[in-house]
Amino acid sequence: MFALQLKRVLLPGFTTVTALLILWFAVTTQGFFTLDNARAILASMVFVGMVSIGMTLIMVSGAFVSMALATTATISAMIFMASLSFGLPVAIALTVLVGALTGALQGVAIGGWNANPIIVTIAAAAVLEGVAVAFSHGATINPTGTSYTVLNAHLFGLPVGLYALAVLALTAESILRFTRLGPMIYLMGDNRAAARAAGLPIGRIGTAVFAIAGATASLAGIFMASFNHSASLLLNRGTLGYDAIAAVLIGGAAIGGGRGSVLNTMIGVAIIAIVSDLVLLRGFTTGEQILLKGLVMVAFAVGVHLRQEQRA
Amino acid sequence: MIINFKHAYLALALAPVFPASAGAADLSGKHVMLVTCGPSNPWCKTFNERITGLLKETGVKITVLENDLDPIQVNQQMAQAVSQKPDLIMVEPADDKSLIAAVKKAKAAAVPVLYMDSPADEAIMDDIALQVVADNYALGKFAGENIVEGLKAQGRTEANVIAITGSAGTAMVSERQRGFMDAMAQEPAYKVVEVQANNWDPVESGRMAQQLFAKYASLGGIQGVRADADYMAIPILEAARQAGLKLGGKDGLIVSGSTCSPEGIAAIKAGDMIGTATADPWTQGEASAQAAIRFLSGEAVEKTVKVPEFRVTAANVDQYGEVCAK
Repeated sequence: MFALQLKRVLLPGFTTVTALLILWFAVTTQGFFTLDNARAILASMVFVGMVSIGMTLIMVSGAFVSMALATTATISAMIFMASLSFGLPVAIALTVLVGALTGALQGVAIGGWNANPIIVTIAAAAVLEGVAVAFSHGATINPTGTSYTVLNAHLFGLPVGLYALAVLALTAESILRFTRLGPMIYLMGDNRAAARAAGLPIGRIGTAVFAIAGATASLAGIFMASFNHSASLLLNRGTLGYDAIAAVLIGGAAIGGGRGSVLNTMIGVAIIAIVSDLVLLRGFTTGEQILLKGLVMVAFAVGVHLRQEQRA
Repeated sequence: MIINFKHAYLALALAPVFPASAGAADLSGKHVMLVTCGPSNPWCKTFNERITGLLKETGVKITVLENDLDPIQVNQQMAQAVSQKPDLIMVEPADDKSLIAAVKKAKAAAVPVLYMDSPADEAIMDDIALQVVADNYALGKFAGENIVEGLKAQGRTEANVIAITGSAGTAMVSERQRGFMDAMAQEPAYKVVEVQANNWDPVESGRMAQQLFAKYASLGGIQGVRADADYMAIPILEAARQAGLKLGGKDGLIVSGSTCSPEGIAAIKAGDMIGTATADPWTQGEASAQAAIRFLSGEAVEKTVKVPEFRVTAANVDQYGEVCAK
């Protein structure tokens, strides 16, 4: 009882303090409130944003998270660079197809056979990396021609990738809200047994969710490769997958499934991008940046989830 | 001991079917364990191939343990290597401090260690058999010289410069940074306004650069960037384009890479990048392998073999293009 009261008092305070702290940091950071910086922050959302779209669908469907999406993006980057000799449209289509297929295969195991998603996706990441090493022999894959540079272009001062992210996010949100698949994903995530009893095609829903996640991750890979003008497993060194998971949690999706929205996840992506930018602009060392970024992510994720608990 | 099959494989050298080339030592019966960074890194791929290729010519049996430059994994593999009691362990460190205990254990087990690339910590100088290191100070200095030269050619009387480096905390990275700062100190009007480290991550390098360009846009802008590797410089060049900055030329951004790669060489030829430096994996691997061969043959080898490095600019890019492309 006491704990509940404490939470009731602490929670609004906690959220307000975190928000005020960030605002104060932003106001006192040289160069934060500028158009250039806003553009830089938006640009930095593209890769994490695309991966987190698929991650949202996975979490809503009750399959927790995928540990394979960052690797899928990296492998897709390599496939994209290698297939550019067939022309840009073919390369994009082929890459997205392969990404969707690798996702679908994991979805069959997780949705259809009820395999543990963490184990399946960790295994899938290892297999994908192994295949990539076997085919590339560890070399950097360089593009044929320069057709891909159109993906680095700008429209009204913002990179093409950001528009692609917006279209993808809206499409995914529409799938969740306006198609027959959407409610089925929520129901399956909310109560798998009930969904099965109601005769929902659990296997096919799971496959579809992971196929979409594979496709959006592969699009992230395509933009990543274009930005780096080549692709190798080095692109997998960062925290893409973890940032995407954090974005989904900050966006308020329930880790157990049944609740979440792609547009809210995009707010999570924006918060991570803003915090990453702030700690860099403030001139913290790399170690401090990682620590602060982690703390803010935990603060937001915990705050959001405590609030939902309170509402429920 | 858990063996990670994903990253570890055995490369057993077969006894040479044809006679060894003239001058090559016959070291059949000797066993070398190579603890090195793995195939997910193109630099490491070439480095490992050069080492194993040269060692195999001598008939030595070589076991390769690959890791992802993860200090914990490197330590596990060192323990694994020591337990095999090879004639020599060659190690490419992920973190110099975290390797101290492992090297001391090798010494206690009387297994000689050849430390590669990054200088060994002072605490284990007596415990390693020898080290073959890149001249990291020179690499940093070359980057500074590239940038100063480029800025001067543009006629700039003042400039803001940033450095985006590999993992902070390795002697390799801090030595390079020291060389860089010394070179930049020659021209005090050119200020190094930010030094940011990341984990040799090209994607992160691009993001950091783009956001730092924005930060300094109202403070006179950024005129020069040093990247610790060519593969980190390429996304920085793209970040600059995305930020609407010009590259090279009379008034564009001056970017210097390092540890040259084919993409870097192409960027120099295109005029987008001012220069780079060697420490290419081919030469580095060759020097390490040759030191190992001399050591195993019982020759006296100096404790520290420093591989000479060279500055690469548009003026001599053709000369180094070949070795950088390997």
